[in-house]
Amino acid sequence: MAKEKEHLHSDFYIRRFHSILGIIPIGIFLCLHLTLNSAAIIGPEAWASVINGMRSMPFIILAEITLIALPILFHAIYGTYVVYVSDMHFLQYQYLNNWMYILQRVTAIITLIFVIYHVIFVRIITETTMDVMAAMANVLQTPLGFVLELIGVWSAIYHFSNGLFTFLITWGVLHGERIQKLFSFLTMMLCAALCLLSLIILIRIAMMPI
Amino acid sequence: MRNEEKYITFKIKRRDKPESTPYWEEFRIPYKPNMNVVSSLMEIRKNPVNASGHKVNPVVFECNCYEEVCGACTMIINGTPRQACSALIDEIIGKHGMERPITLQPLTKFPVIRDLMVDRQIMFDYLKKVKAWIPVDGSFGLGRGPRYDERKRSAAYQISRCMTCGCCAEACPSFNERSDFMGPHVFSQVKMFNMHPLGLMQKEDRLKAIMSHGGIQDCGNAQNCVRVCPKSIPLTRSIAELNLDVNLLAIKRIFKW
Ligand code: HEM
Ligand code: SF4
Ligand code: SF4
Ligand code: FES
Repeated sequence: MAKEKEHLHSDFYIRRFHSILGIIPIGIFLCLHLTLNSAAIIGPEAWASVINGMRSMPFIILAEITLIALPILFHAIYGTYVVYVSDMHFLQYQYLNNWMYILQRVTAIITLIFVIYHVIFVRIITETTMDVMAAMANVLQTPLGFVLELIGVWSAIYHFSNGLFTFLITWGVLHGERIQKLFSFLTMMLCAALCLLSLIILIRIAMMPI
Repeated sequence: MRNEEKYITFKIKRRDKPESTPYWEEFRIPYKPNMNVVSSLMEIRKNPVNASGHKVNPVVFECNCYEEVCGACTMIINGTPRQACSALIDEIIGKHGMERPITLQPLTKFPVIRDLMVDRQIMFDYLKKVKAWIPVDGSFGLGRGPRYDERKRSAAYQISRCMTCGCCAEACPSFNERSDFMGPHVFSQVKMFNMHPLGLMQKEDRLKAIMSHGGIQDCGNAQNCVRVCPKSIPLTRSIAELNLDVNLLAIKRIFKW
């Protein structure tokens, strides 16, 4: 008897691919991006040399497209579908994990809007390093601009941190209730630390005399 | 004595036919000690007169065991999905007082047949889809089965108490009409049958079933399911453990493709 041909349902593989992309490369990129831009804390010269360094790398545009843009595009498109198929009017369940789940989806949408704005604003329509720095400083010097920028950055950070926690469940690493609680706490500490770092970076950029 | 009689109020979401629009109706019944929601609904059935004094059709509901093992009487009581037979009135009014009406609603994730009665067939369909059984029927005796490791047996016992009541599916954000997610309960059943020394032989079939459309990948880790389960089934632990199993199988399958 001929062996029935195995059918691999794509749903599972696509969802797991989406999950990996959240960490590799997108999550790693987010951490790198924050680390590199912490140069702004030291001062405008240090920050300028980091931006120059990034911009002068050979084939940077190729790396940007294949390692950052395409993965985010896939993660964002499939992620928007995931948000669509989740029920979120769940105010009747006042459990911490439920709030984290809802926030994961809310920050997904905010991050999506923020990333599009951010790429257009500091990568596509700006030419030189000076342009980038001036554009960022100008936005951050208005109170509204500062708050919106902060919301965007913090959304991405929360989405990544809580995503790291659910990633560890999705990949079958965290099984028990207590280890899940511990890692949920640790990833929220990571979230708080990155939020603080980004706040300092944004304040320092806002203070730059540009 | 008459004027000392105390009353409790129920606010019930009713529906006459599956397609008709739901409406809220209030009922007041005399308080007695040790009532539960099922016995209260039976009081209403005895004398189906609503709070404004009109005679109406009795409220339709389901129940069987009266001891929280069949799951038939599951409904949303004051916002929480649970069993009406084990929802004690004294406990509820102890928390909220006599004055606040007790709200009863049918489960929202399943088709309503009438009033508080819903059709949970889809939960059983998904159990079939994931082969939540052990095939032992045959034309000859198979002899004694293998022994069951005691630790596994007691873990399996815990899961076997699931009564397919639907509380977990009701609270699960991934289980809704826009998605074909199988629901939290199936994964614990798969875990249980995969732990059994005979069930082990169909382990891969069950894993493949929960990797198909609507399977384990659609869980978003909200973990509401485990909070509302009246039987304390370790739903999220089963999902986490199965995640490892399906991921390993997925890698194997990719390279055999
Ligand atoms: C800075 C950019 C982003 C990062 C670092 C990121 C990271 C992650 C990570 C690590 C996960 C966890 C995956 C898992 O649980 O297995 C995740 C999940 C998710 N992401 Fe993103 N993401 C980003 C942007 C977006 C965008 C723009 C969207 C869509 C609008 C999105 C939608 C989602 C959704 C819906 C989930 C939940 C998936 C699930 O629970 O399985 N993400 N993300
Ligand atoms: S797992 Fe719990 S909540 Fe879900 S159907 Fe079984 S008993 Fe009900
Ligand atoms: S943990 Fe998964 S199965 Fe349980 S409620 Fe959340 S999404 Fe549903
Ligand atoms: S009547 Fe069986 S669970 Fe309530």
